[in-house]
Amino acid sequence: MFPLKKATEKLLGELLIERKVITKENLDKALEAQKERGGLIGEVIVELGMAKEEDVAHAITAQYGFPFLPLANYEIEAEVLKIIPENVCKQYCLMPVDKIGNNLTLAMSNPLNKEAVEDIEEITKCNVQIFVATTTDIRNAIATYYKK
Amino acid sequence: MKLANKGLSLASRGLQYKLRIAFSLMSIIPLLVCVYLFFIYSPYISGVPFSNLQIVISLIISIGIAVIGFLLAKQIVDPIVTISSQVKNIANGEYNKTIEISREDEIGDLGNALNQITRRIRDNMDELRNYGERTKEINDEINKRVIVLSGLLQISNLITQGAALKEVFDVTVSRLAQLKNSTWVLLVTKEDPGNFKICAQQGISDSLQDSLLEESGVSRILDLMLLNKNGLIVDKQQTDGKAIELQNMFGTINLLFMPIFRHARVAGFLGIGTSHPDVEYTNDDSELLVVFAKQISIAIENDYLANRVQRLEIKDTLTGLYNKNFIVNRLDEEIKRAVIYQRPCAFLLFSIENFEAFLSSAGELAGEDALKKIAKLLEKNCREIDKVARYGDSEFAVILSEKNKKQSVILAEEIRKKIEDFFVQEKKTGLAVCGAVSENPIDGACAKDLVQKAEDLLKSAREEKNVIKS
Repeated sequence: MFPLKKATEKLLGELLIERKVITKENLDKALEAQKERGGLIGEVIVELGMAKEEDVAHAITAQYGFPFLPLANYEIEAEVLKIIPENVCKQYCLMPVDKIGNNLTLAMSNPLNKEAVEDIEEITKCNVQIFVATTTDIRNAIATYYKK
Repeated sequence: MKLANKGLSLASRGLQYKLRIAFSLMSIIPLLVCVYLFFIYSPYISGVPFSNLQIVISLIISIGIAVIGFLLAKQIVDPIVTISSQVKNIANGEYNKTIEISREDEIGDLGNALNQITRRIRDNMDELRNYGERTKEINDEINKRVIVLSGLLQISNLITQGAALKEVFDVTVSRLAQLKNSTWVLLVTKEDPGNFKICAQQGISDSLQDSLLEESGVSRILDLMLLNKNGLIVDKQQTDGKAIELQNMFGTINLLFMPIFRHARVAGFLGIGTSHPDVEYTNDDSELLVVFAKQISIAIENDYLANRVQRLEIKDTLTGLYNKNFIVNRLDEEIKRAVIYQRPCAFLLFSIENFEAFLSSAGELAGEDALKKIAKLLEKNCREIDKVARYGDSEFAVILSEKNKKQSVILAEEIRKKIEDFFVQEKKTGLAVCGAVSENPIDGACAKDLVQKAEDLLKSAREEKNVIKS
């Protein structure tokens, strides 16, 4: 089952304004920048230096009830890496963390990506437990672990 | 008759006269001699007894006269026999012979007349032979032109039919080989990056082909040839270095090269050569080669334009859907977009089951109708942002943006069912489709991977029938 407990239909940008992480002007600028170069709004806001990655992650955590996982502090086993191919991790910006029985712990920068979670379920045939992690942590983890 | 002017010689007398004399000598004169002797020496008339000696002398004289008569007759008949046998020879075709009768009578005239006739026949025969040779030359020339014309016609037909370039090249080479029985024919074209390629050849050894391409032999030929836009003829009269170099390169004395131009630039060349000592290439041949070179140039241009049009075309004419080329390029773009936005993107393939059997039983029109209907059903059941394409004769492809594997399989199954329902319930034709789903990122990170995966899956779906494989 998809464990998404979405409390509101609010978009991430609005959420960040509500939490006073960014201003309305910031959001407009970020949206414009997104139109030009593409990418996800959370990433664009971080890239423009309007907010820290952690702020975005915490906003998501608080709003949707996903737990936050400081990925850098965890050691991931090689066996777990084999469950999801590298290109899937890269594309969806996620990282398998642990697998106990049929339960897979997954760190994602965007836990709202329902299609990604379904794909992971499709590949692994596991129940997926989602944690939120920062994009940087996930990318670093992919670069570190999949290189081995 | 020239009797009046002739002297006493019998040789100059007329035949009738001679015959009369011969007849007289053989019959009348001996008879008269006998009668005369009988009267002169008869004991009953002269009283003188008739001695044996006298009788013998008389008989000898008579026989002698008769022999003279016989010889005279023989002299008349012999030349006739001779003429007759010689006439027979002439009649058998020995026109070079003459009848040798040096007589001044009718037989001499006959001989002379026959000689005249023979001479005239001989002259006529010679003239006829000359005409024959000239006709043969004209025929050869006509034959050559016909070969060239029919060759050109064949080539232009191939071009208009859009035949493969290779076929046009091969036909050109085989036609050129017939021109003056050339020993070798070579067709070289310039490829895009400036390399040369032997497109077609006849009678050129592998080693020569290699050396032509490797040691920049082709460029050398072009250097030697291109000083002359109307081609280059090399024969035994030429002794300059350039001619000898080419003769050594190809191992034949007579060569003819013709550049192929495209947009006023050299796009290659045609070359023919012969080792036959009597055959030399003329300006006529050179002009013919110009026409062939132009045809080749048209074929190359046509092929280039056709390819370009094909590359630019994005729609299938029958169904109005996108074509395979477009959908595959588009898939790459969709995948790039999906990667940037961290989204999935799926690629669907559908194949109509037993379509060939359906075509042969229901006909082309029904087949086209079915293809159009399936195209409609696909478009109707996909979103506007999805791209639907005709992927092959009986295959369709769909790019589903933002859909992951699970969602795509569900949609593909829905579509499969709807198509099946339509053809089973409404059309009663029993047509059905099977399908395959591949997805980015699970099945790959580029269009090539997704296409490969979907095609593999489609193969197994065809075997199982009426299924969607993922």
